[in-house]
Amino acid sequence: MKIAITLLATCLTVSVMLAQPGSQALKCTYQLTFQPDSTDKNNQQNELMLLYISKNESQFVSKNFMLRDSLKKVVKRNYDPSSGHLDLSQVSIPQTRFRFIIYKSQEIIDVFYDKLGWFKYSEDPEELCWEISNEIKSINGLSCQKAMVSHGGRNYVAWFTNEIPVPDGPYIFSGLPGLIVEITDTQNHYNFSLIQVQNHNGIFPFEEPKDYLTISKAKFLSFMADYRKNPIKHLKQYASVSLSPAERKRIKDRESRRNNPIELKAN
Amino acid sequence: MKNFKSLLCLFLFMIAGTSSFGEGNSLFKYDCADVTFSCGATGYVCGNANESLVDRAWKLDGEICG
Repeated sequence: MKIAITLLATCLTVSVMLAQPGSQALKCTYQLTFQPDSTDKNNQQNELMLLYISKNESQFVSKNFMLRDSLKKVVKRNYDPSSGHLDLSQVSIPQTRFRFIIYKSQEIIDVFYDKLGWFKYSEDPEELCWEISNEIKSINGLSCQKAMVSHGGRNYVAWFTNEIPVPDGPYIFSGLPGLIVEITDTQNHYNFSLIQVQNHNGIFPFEEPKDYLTISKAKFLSFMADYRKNPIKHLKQYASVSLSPAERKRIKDRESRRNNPIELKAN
Repeated sequence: MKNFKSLLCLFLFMIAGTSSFGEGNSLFKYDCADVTFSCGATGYVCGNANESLVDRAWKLDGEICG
Protein backbone atom coordinates (compact mmCIF):
# COMPACT_ATOMS: atom_id res chain seq x y z
CA MET A 1 0.00 0.00 0.00
CA LYS A 2 2.83 2.34 0.99
CA ILE A 3 4.61 1.56 -2.27
CA ALA A 4 1.43 2.34 -4.23
CA ILE A 5 1.01 5.69 -2.47
CA THR A 6 4.70 6.57 -3.01
CA LEU A 7 4.39 5.65 -6.69
CA LEU A 8 1.21 7.73 -7.01
CA ALA A 9 2.88 10.70 -5.30
CA THR A 10 5.94 10.40 -7.55
CA CYS A 11 3.75 10.05 -10.62
CA LEU A 12 1.72 13.14 -9.66
CA THR A 13 4.83 15.20 -8.93
CA VAL A 14 6.52 14.20 -12.20
CA SER A 15 3.30 14.82 -14.13
CA VAL A 16 2.90 18.25 -12.55
CA MET A 17 6.52 19.10 -13.44
CA LEU A 18 5.91 17.96 -17.00
CA ALA A 19 2.70 19.92 -17.16
CA GLN A 20 4.51 23.27 -16.76
CA PRO A 21 2.03 25.27 -14.69
CA GLY A 22 2.46 28.33 -16.87
CA SER A 23 1.06 26.60 -19.94
CA GLN A 24 -2.60 27.14 -20.72
CA ALA A 25 -4.00 23.70 -21.55
CA LEU A 26 -4.08 21.09 -18.79
CA LYS A 27 -5.84 17.78 -18.33
CA CYS A 28 -6.35 16.95 -14.66
CA THR A 29 -7.53 13.53 -13.56
CA TYR A 30 -9.42 13.28 -10.28
CA GLN A 31 -10.53 10.18 -8.45
CA LEU A 32 -14.04 10.65 -7.15
CA THR A 33 -14.99 8.50 -4.18
CA PHE A 34 -18.65 8.75 -3.26
CA GLN A 35 -21.31 7.14 -1.14
CA PRO A 36 -24.48 6.67 -3.22
CA ASP A 37 -26.64 5.61 -0.27
CA SER A 38 -26.49 7.96 2.72
CA THR A 39 -27.49 5.09 5.02
CA ASP A 40 -24.79 2.67 3.84
CA LYS A 41 -21.27 3.79 4.75
CA ASN A 42 -19.81 0.51 3.53
CA ASN A 43 -20.87 1.15 -0.04
CA GLN A 44 -18.21 3.52 -1.39
CA GLN A 45 -17.81 3.78 -5.16
CA ASN A 46 -15.10 5.30 -7.36
CA GLU A 47 -14.98 6.98 -10.72
CA LEU A 48 -12.27 8.81 -12.61
CA MET A 49 -13.23 12.33 -13.57
CA LEU A 50 -11.42 14.57 -16.08
CA LEU A 51 -10.96 18.31 -16.00
CA TYR A 52 -9.79 19.91 -19.24
CA ILE A 53 -8.56 23.46 -18.79
CA SER A 54 -7.85 25.73 -21.73
CA LYS A 55 -7.26 29.48 -21.47
CA ASN A 56 -9.91 30.75 -19.08
CA GLU A 57 -12.41 27.95 -19.63
CA SER A 58 -12.74 24.33 -18.63
CA GLN A 59 -14.75 21.21 -19.24
CA PHE A 60 -15.37 18.55 -16.59
CA VAL A 61 -16.59 15.04 -17.43
CA SER A 62 -16.53 11.48 -16.19
CA LYS A 63 -13.89 9.39 -17.95
CA ASN A 64 -16.42 6.58 -18.42
CA PHE A 65 -18.90 9.03 -19.91
CA MET A 66 -16.26 9.94 -22.47
CA LEU A 67 -15.43 6.29 -23.19
CA ARG A 68 -19.14 5.52 -23.59
CA ASP A 69 -19.43 8.27 -26.17
CA SER A 70 -16.51 6.90 -28.20
CA LEU A 71 -17.89 3.37 -28.00
CA LYS A 72 -21.34 4.54 -29.13
CA LYS A 73 -19.81 5.90 -32.33
CA VAL A 74 -18.34 2.45 -33.06
CA VAL A 75 -21.67 0.70 -32.35
CA LYS A 76 -23.47 3.20 -34.60
CA ARG A 77 -21.06 2.47 -37.43
CA ASN A 78 -21.47 -1.29 -37.08
CA TYR A 79 -25.23 -1.42 -36.53
CA ASP A 80 -27.20 -2.99 -39.38
CA PRO A 81 -30.73 -1.48 -39.38
CA SER A 82 -32.08 -4.32 -41.53
CA SER A 83 -31.34 -6.83 -38.74
CA GLY A 84 -34.13 -5.48 -36.52
CA HIS A 85 -32.04 -6.34 -33.48
CA LEU A 86 -29.47 -4.35 -31.53
CA ASP A 87 -27.49 -6.46 -29.11
CA LEU A 88 -25.64 -4.34 -26.56
CA SER A 89 -25.00 -7.33 -24.30
CA GLN A 90 -22.00 -8.19 -26.50
CA VAL A 91 -20.47 -4.76 -25.88
CA SER A 92 -18.62 -3.99 -22.70
CA ILE A 93 -20.15 -0.58 -22.02
CA PRO A 94 -18.46 1.47 -19.28
CA GLN A 95 -21.15 2.69 -16.89
CA THR A 96 -21.15 5.99 -15.09
CA ARG A 97 -23.30 7.68 -12.49
CA PHE A 98 -22.20 11.10 -13.76
CA ARG A 99 -23.60 11.72 -17.21
CA PHE A 100 -22.90 15.42 -17.32
CA ILE A 101 -20.61 17.90 -19.01
CA ILE A 102 -19.74 20.99 -17.00
CA TYR A 103 -18.44 24.08 -18.77
CA LYS A 104 -16.84 26.68 -16.56
CA SER A 105 -15.69 30.20 -17.29
CA GLN A 106 -15.13 33.14 -14.96
CA GLU A 107 -18.63 34.39 -15.77
CA ILE A 108 -20.79 31.25 -15.70
CA ILE A 109 -20.97 27.56 -14.91
CA ASP A 110 -23.14 25.61 -17.36
CA VAL A 111 -24.16 22.10 -16.36
CA PHE A 112 -25.43 19.88 -19.19
CA TYR A 113 -26.98 16.72 -17.78
CA ASP A 114 -27.91 13.74 -19.92
CA LYS A 115 -30.94 12.13 -18.30
CA LEU A 116 -32.96 10.59 -21.17
CA GLY A 117 -32.37 13.88 -23.01
CA TRP A 118 -30.14 16.86 -22.33
CA PHE A 119 -30.96 19.35 -19.61
CA LYS A 120 -29.02 22.54 -18.98
CA TYR A 121 -28.90 24.65 -15.88
CA SER A 122 -26.47 27.40 -15.00
CA GLU A 123 -24.79 28.53 -11.84
CA ASP A 124 -23.07 31.77 -10.92
CA PRO A 125 -19.42 31.19 -9.95
CA GLU A 126 -19.61 34.25 -7.69
CA GLU A 127 -22.04 32.34 -5.47
CA LEU A 128 -19.16 30.11 -4.42
CA CYS A 129 -18.15 32.16 -1.39
CA TRP A 130 -14.81 30.65 -0.47
CA GLU A 131 -13.36 31.16 2.97
CA ILE A 132 -9.58 30.80 2.69
CA SER A 133 -7.69 29.63 5.77
CA ASN A 134 -3.96 29.98 6.51
CA GLU A 135 -3.67 26.23 7.13
CA ILE A 136 -1.12 24.57 4.84
CA LYS A 137 -0.40 20.90 4.21
CA SER A 138 1.47 18.87 1.65
CA ILE A 139 -0.52 16.53 -0.60
CA ASN A 140 1.49 14.28 -2.88
CA GLY A 141 4.42 16.70 -2.78
CA LEU A 142 2.32 19.78 -3.52
CA SER A 143 2.04 22.55 -0.95
CA CYS A 144 -1.70 23.07 -0.45
CA GLN A 145 -3.77 25.68 1.36
CA LYS A 146 -7.14 25.07 2.96
CA ALA A 147 -10.40 26.71 1.85
CA MET A 148 -14.03 26.11 2.75
CA VAL A 149 -17.25 26.61 0.83
CA SER A 150 -20.95 25.68 1.07
CA HIS A 151 -22.69 24.47 -2.03
CA GLY A 152 -25.82 22.49 -2.87
CA GLY A 153 -26.61 21.72 0.76
CA ARG A 154 -23.11 20.46 1.59
CA ASN A 155 -20.13 22.04 3.31
CA TYR A 156 -16.82 21.34 1.59
CA VAL A 157 -13.19 21.54 2.65
CA ALA A 158 -10.82 22.11 -0.26
CA TRP A 159 -7.05 22.09 -0.58
CA PHE A 160 -5.64 24.15 -3.44
CA THR A 161 -2.07 24.67 -4.60
CA ASN A 162 -0.45 27.89 -5.69
CA GLU A 163 2.15 25.74 -7.47
CA ILE A 164 -0.42 25.33 -10.27
CA PRO A 165 -1.89 28.86 -10.44
CA VAL A 166 -5.08 27.87 -12.24
CA PRO A 167 -8.37 28.95 -10.58
CA ASP A 168 -10.17 25.70 -11.35
CA GLY A 169 -11.03 22.36 -9.85
CA PRO A 170 -13.33 19.35 -10.07
CA TYR A 171 -17.11 19.49 -10.59
CA ILE A 172 -18.39 23.09 -10.36
CA PHE A 173 -15.66 24.19 -7.97
CA SER A 174 -13.49 27.07 -9.13
CA GLY A 175 -12.39 30.56 -8.18
CA LEU A 176 -9.49 29.82 -5.83
CA PRO A 177 -5.98 31.22 -6.51
CA GLY A 178 -4.68 27.75 -7.48
CA LEU A 179 -5.81 24.37 -8.72
CA ILE A 180 -7.91 22.34 -6.27
CA VAL A 181 -5.94 19.23 -5.32
CA GLU A 182 -8.56 17.75 -3.02
CA ILE A 183 -12.09 18.62 -2.00
CA THR A 184 -14.37 16.68 0.34
CA ASP A 185 -17.72 17.41 1.89
CA THR A 186 -17.76 17.37 5.66
CA GLN A 187 -19.86 14.17 5.75
CA ASN A 188 -17.22 12.51 3.54
CA HIS A 189 -19.86 11.47 0.99
CA TYR A 190 -18.07 13.03 -1.99
CA ASN A 191 -14.29 13.29 -2.27
CA PHE A 192 -12.36 14.44 -5.34
CA SER A 193 -8.60 13.80 -5.24
CA LEU A 194 -6.21 14.93 -7.94
CA ILE A 195 -4.15 12.00 -9.21
CA GLN A 196 -2.60 13.30 -12.42
CA VAL A 197 -1.91 16.54 -14.30
CA GLN A 198 -0.89 16.46 -17.96
CA ASN A 199 -0.61 18.86 -20.84
CA HIS A 200 -3.21 18.54 -23.59
CA ASN A 201 -3.87 20.11 -26.96
CA GLY A 202 -6.43 22.62 -25.69
CA ILE A 203 -9.36 21.05 -27.53
CA PHE A 204 -12.24 20.02 -25.28
CA PRO A 205 -13.42 16.43 -25.79
CA PHE A 206 -17.12 17.38 -26.04
CA GLU A 207 -18.93 19.92 -28.12
CA GLU A 208 -21.86 21.64 -26.44
CA PRO A 209 -24.99 19.49 -26.89
CA LYS A 210 -27.26 20.87 -29.62
CA ASP A 211 -30.71 19.92 -28.33
CA TYR A 212 -31.29 20.59 -24.67
CA LEU A 213 -33.93 21.85 -22.31
CA THR A 214 -32.90 24.89 -20.29
CA ILE A 215 -34.26 24.48 -16.80
CA SER A 216 -33.71 26.03 -13.38
CA LYS A 217 -31.49 24.07 -11.05
CA ALA A 218 -34.37 23.69 -8.58
CA LYS A 219 -36.61 22.18 -11.26
CA PHE A 220 -33.84 19.89 -12.43
CA LEU A 221 -33.23 18.58 -8.91
CA SER A 222 -36.96 18.04 -8.49
CA PHE A 223 -37.03 16.09 -11.79
CA MET A 224 -34.14 13.94 -10.58
CA ALA A 225 -35.90 13.28 -7.27
CA ASP A 226 -39.02 12.22 -9.15
CA TYR A 227 -36.93 9.98 -11.39
CA ARG A 228 -35.47 8.23 -8.34
CA LYS A 229 -39.00 7.67 -7.03
CA ASN A 230 -40.54 6.56 -10.34
CA PRO A 231 -37.78 5.34 -12.67
CA ILE A 232 -40.03 2.97 -14.61
CA LYS A 233 -42.55 5.74 -15.36
CA HIS A 234 -39.76 7.88 -16.84
CA LEU A 235 -38.28 5.00 -18.84
CA LYS A 236 -41.67 4.16 -20.32
CA GLN A 237 -42.30 7.81 -21.18
CA TYR A 238 -39.05 7.78 -23.11
CA ALA A 239 -39.50 4.53 -25.04
CA SER A 240 -41.63 1.41 -25.21
CA VAL A 241 -39.36 -0.72 -23.10
CA SER A 242 -40.76 -4.03 -21.93
CA LEU A 243 -38.98 -4.90 -18.73
CA SER A 244 -39.67 -8.03 -16.75
CA PRO A 245 -41.11 -7.62 -13.22
CA ALA A 246 -37.70 -8.69 -11.85
CA GLU A 247 -35.92 -6.00 -13.91
CA ARG A 248 -38.44 -3.35 -12.84
CA LYS A 249 -37.90 -4.29 -9.20
CA ARG A 250 -34.11 -4.23 -9.61
CA ILE A 251 -34.20 -0.75 -11.14
CA LYS A 252 -36.63 0.59 -8.50
CA ASP A 253 -34.55 -0.84 -5.65
CA ARG A 254 -31.35 0.50 -7.18
CA GLU A 255 -32.79 4.01 -7.54
CA SER A 256 -34.08 4.02 -3.97
CA ARG A 257 -30.54 3.22 -2.81
CA ARG A 258 -29.20 6.20 -4.79
CA ASN A 259 -30.58 8.63 -2.27
CA ASN A 260 -27.46 10.72 -1.79
CA PRO A 261 -26.90 12.98 -4.82
CA ILE A 262 -24.05 15.45 -4.78
CA GLU A 263 -26.59 18.28 -5.03
CA LEU A 264 -28.94 18.07 -2.06
CA LYS A 265 -30.62 21.39 -2.76
CA ALA A 266 -30.52 24.23 -5.25
CA ASN A 267 -28.87 26.60 -2.67
CA MET B 1 -57.58 25.03 -58.58
CA LYS B 2 -55.29 22.17 -59.58
CA ASN B 3 -52.35 24.03 -58.07
CA PHE B 4 -54.32 24.61 -54.90
CA LYS B 5 -55.11 20.86 -54.65
CA SER B 6 -51.46 20.00 -55.20
CA LEU B 7 -50.40 22.45 -52.51
CA LEU B 8 -53.03 21.10 -50.14
CA CYS B 9 -51.84 17.52 -50.76
CA LEU B 10 -48.24 18.56 -50.17
CA PHE B 11 -49.25 20.36 -46.96
CA LEU B 12 -51.18 17.31 -45.67
CA PHE B 13 -48.29 15.05 -46.62
CA MET B 14 -45.88 17.24 -44.64
CA ILE B 15 -48.22 17.34 -41.62
CA ALA B 16 -48.60 13.54 -41.71
CA GLY B 17 -44.89 13.08 -42.05
CA THR B 18 -43.95 15.26 -39.15
CA SER B 19 -46.75 14.25 -36.79
CA SER B 20 -46.15 11.48 -34.35
CA PHE B 21 -48.68 8.67 -34.18
CA GLY B 22 -46.62 6.72 -31.68
CA GLU B 23 -43.12 5.45 -32.02
CA GLY B 24 -42.23 4.35 -35.49
CA ASN B 25 -45.74 4.87 -36.88
CA SER B 26 -45.39 8.19 -38.67
CA LEU B 27 -45.48 8.31 -42.43
CA PHE B 28 -41.68 8.62 -42.41
CA LYS B 29 -40.82 5.42 -40.55
CA TYR B 30 -38.06 5.64 -38.02
CA ASP B 31 -35.74 2.76 -37.43
CA CYS B 32 -36.94 0.39 -34.68
CA ALA B 33 -35.38 -2.73 -33.20
CA ASP B 34 -35.54 -5.25 -30.42
CA VAL B 35 -32.74 -4.27 -28.11
CA THR B 36 -30.84 -6.46 -25.69
CA PHE B 37 -29.23 -4.12 -23.17
CA SER B 38 -25.76 -4.68 -21.77
CA CYS B 39 -27.18 -6.17 -18.55
CA GLY B 40 -29.45 -8.61 -20.41
CA ALA B 41 -32.72 -6.65 -20.11
CA THR B 42 -34.66 -6.34 -23.35
CA GLY B 43 -36.90 -3.75 -24.97
CA TYR B 44 -38.30 -2.46 -28.25
CA VAL B 45 -36.80 0.92 -29.14
CA CYS B 46 -37.35 3.29 -32.05
CA GLY B 47 -35.39 6.27 -33.21
CA ASN B 48 -37.18 9.57 -33.72
CA ALA B 49 -36.68 12.85 -35.54
CA ASN B 50 -34.05 14.03 -33.06
CA GLU B 51 -32.26 10.87 -32.03
CA SER B 52 -31.27 7.69 -33.83
CA LEU B 53 -32.26 4.27 -32.55
CA VAL B 54 -28.70 3.65 -31.32
CA ASP B 55 -28.62 7.00 -29.48
CA ARG B 56 -31.87 6.21 -27.69
CA ALA B 57 -30.91 2.61 -26.92
CA TRP B 58 -27.59 3.89 -25.58
CA LYS B 59 -29.30 6.35 -23.23
CA LEU B 60 -31.70 3.65 -22.04
CA ASP B 61 -28.80 1.29 -21.44
CA GLY B 62 -27.25 3.87 -19.14
CA GLU B 63 -30.49 4.13 -17.17
CA ILE B 64 -31.38 0.43 -17.11
CA CYS B 65 -27.94 -1.06 -16.60
CA GLY B 66 -26.00 1.83 -15.05
